[in-house]
Amino acid sequence: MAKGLFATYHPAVCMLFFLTAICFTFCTQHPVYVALTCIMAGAYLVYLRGVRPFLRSLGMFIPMVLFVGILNSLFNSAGATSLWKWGPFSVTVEGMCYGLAVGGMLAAILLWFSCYNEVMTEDKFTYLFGRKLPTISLMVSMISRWIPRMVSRGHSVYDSQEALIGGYDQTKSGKMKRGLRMATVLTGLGMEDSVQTADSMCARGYGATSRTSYARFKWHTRERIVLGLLIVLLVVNVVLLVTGTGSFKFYPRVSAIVPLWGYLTYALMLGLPFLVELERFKR
Amino acid sequence: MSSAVVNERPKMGKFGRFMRAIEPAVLVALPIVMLICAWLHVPNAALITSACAIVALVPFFASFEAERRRARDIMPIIVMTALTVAGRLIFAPVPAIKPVTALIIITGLCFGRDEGFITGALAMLVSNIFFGQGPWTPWQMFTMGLIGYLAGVLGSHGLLKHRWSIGLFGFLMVFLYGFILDTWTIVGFVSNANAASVFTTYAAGFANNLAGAIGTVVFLIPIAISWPRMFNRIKSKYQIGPAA
Amino acid sequence: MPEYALEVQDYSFSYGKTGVNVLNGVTFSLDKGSFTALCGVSGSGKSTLLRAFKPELAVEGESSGQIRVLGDDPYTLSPVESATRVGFVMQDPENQIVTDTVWHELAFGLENIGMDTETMHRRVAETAHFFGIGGWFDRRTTDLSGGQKQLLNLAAIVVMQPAVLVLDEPTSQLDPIAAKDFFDVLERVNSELGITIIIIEHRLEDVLPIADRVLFLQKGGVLVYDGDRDGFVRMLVGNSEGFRGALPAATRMAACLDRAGLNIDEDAPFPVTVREGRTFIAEAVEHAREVDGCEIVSRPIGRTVPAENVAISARDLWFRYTKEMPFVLRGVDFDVHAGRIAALVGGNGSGKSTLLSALSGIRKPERGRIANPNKLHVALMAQNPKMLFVHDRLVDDFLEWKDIGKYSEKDVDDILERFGLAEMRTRHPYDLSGGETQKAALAKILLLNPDVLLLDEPVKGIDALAKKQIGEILTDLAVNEGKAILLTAHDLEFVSETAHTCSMMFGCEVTCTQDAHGFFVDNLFYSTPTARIARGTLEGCVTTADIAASFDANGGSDHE
Repeated sequence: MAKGLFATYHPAVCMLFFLTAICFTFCTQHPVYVALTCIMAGAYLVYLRGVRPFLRSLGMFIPMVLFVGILNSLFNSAGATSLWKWGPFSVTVEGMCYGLAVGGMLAAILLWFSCYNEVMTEDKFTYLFGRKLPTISLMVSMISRWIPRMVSRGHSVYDSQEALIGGYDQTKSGKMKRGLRMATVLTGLGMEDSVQTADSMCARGYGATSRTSYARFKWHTRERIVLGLLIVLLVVNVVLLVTGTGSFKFYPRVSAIVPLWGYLTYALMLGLPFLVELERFKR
Repeated sequence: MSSAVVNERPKMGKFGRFMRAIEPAVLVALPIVMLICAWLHVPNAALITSACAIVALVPFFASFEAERRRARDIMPIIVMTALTVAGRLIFAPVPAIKPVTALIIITGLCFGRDEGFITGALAMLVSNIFFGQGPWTPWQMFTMGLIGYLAGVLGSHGLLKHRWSIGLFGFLMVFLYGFILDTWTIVGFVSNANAASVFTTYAAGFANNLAGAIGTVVFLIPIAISWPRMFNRIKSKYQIGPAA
Repeated sequence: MPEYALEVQDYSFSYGKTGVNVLNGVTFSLDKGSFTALCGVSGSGKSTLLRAFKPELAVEGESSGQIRVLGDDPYTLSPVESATRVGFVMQDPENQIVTDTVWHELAFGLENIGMDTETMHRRVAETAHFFGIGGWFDRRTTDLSGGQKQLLNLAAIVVMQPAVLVLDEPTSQLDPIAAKDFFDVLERVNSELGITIIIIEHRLEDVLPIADRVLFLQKGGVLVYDGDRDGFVRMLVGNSEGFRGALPAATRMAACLDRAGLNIDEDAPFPVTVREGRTFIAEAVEHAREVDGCEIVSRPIGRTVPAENVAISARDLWFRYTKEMPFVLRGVDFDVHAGRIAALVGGNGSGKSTLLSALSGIRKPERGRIANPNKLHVALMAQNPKMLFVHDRLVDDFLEWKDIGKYSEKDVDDILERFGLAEMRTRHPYDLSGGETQKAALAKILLLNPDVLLLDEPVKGIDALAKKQIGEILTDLAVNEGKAILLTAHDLEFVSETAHTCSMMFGCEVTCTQDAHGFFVDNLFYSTPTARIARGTLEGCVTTADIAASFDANGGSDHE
């Protein structure tokens, strides 16, 4: 796995980190904060996936980011420096700045979620919720087992239908009918087969007592240190945010950006996945 | 073959029953919370509403857990969820039909409101595990769960008996889904929303919703009568669900 | 300490109050650490009996008599006790797997019984090691082969350390190699871990050599045999009932010689393995030559094949599912002829199914072409015949395509009659037995009146009798109706008896095509057990019928 060291940490640490990153990103439109979170999320995603896949996923985000950004700058009359006005549309410098910030924020959120998808694989997710939601997390695992089955069975039902009766009716409605027939086969057969799965579960004592879970993750000193560091950074940043470092006024006029130490702690917190990589340079 | 072992679900504890009892209230409360956020221009509404959606899922999952279901009672959810998620791939070559909402509705209708909610919510969760999580996940889970739940409620009151009523319900539900998620986008990401920006957001989603609604109806109407029959046969053959 | 692992006392069972007895006064007891094969024709209540050992799986109905597992009534055990004491492995490897990863599957049972993490890790590690699945511990269960899946199912049961292991036709869905592997592991589970095993199995070829005890249930659920292997074999050899076809090739061959009076040592046990069979036949033939002075001539090699009449031809086919994946067909040249049954054999993943779907025209090759010069109608039957059915009653399913296939209700009645399915017409298609489902699927396809039939594993997991029927139907279709038939199969004996020609697929290519008889004579390893037994002694014998014929032809009849 070329996913970096952070992905090997305990799921709780990873989860807390992503929650922190995403919540902070949501909470502030301060241009420096937005820029920092964008850079950090982007850098981490490049680190996880490589440049090409990063650019590809960036391409998928752009329409949504643009939509939200434009929406925020076009329909905002709160700004003082008006550039252009037509009916309800009023474009102001402040509005555009705000739109840029919100767009950046959304981009950062989407980037963080992409990182999350790489790091928090399904087994980590089910592990985290395995204790509180034993049935649901088992079900997620079972569903993940059934999806590829459904897909391959779907393909083979589709093929066999096309081979048998496809030749008679190549119209759109014929194809739709066969699609529905395929859905019926998949459901009927799936339900029938699932009863055997249920039997197999019973045979192995499902429901006999409270489930425990085969934990593949352990707490090591390293995990505790990183968790402690994350919590400290989290508290410091919350304090800074609440006391005003993170607040920023777009309206009526964009306020000035002043250099602050707070930005550094924010960058440190979001750069945690890179910080743990420093371990490689030990000795 | 059927199991001879006692065929009833264990009784739910107090906590589970409480959670089950507040489910309807939660379903109503969440959209209201979202509207309040919009009305009052609450800052960080995206985060707050997403957190609320997660909290809203709690009673459903908690009461489901508290039921401690038998293995075969969870299987319909597994099969329908897997089909819904896999449907994005396997129905790709089939023109015009959109299976996701239709499958959730039919699940709620045939197996009941709890199955409907859980299937809807899990389908969105797992689908996002496979195709990528996003900030929208909790709202998608909630809304799809709501659709399954509503189908179950209306079904149990005998309101969804006819092909056309089921089709109409499906049509409306796709728009409900679009409406809730678009509203969330506005509340969360558009500050100082005014009529124009609201209108633009809904309008941008309209074509997509319409295609989805038609695809859902096209899927639902042919199966509306035959699938419930198929499920009933399976339910009685294998004694799935609470003992009659 | 209880004396027996399993005791069944006068056990009877019926579905509901009105039903006839499926099991009738069954009594037997199994020693600890024994390996027992439970045999019986289909419908003799074998599965019902095995399920009665495990309350979680027991069939609902009326029962009388007693069952004791290690001295206790299974219904009095606590849920955890009950889960661990008896392990149960079922038929279908796919459906039994619960979770998405191998490690989770192994841990699943232990999680259910609330085992603490540390013990669980240790148990799982030990078991993975014993079964040699450490290498695929992190794999997704979807990516495993059928054989690996079934081994995983077995491991996931054994990890719970059951005292008794119950298996209900565990290898019926596996190819012969995977089945062999499964039995090897099963034998180790029995001999190295001392777990008591009772197994229902149609493949007597594989199970008889390792079973030290055989139970035989007659129709109506009466236990008619309980004893050692040789007694069982002799009993079956003695009566001419349908189940005899399921005996191992060596035994059938020996029975054949026995009837011809060529059994030198009447008291020696009947051979069950290929090795025993080779010794037996060598001695018998030697004896016949020297003592009785009869001359044994070799059988003519080869089989007359209906004339060439190309229906579909494929030239230089190259195919892969996506551009990222390796080729599944590499330069395949293949012809399907009208009036012939052609068989395609080869290991899993050698490209057999892909070739079928390519020939059917639904998969476009990346290179090469498929010609269907006479615009013949091609039908493809996929591996899982259940996929063909969507209706509640078999007859409705048969009528499904009556408009597009332009057939009448009369045709449906006729074909139901022809396939012996008339009684099943109002049954739900999923409620048919394995053999009936295969026949019904074939019948449904035939209603469309195709000229070319491409059948993917038409005899997978069905019993000897149903196999014989399907073989007869196919022969009739090819020889009398001139259909072109191409089938894939793992059952080489079926192929040798049914097909006209046989082709071997290996490494995504068709390596050789020959008449089916010559194919199996010329193959050294990839051949029927009978051919492997007879090689060097009786040349040109591929099936038991060949052996019988080679004796009948020269004075063998004198000995009767």
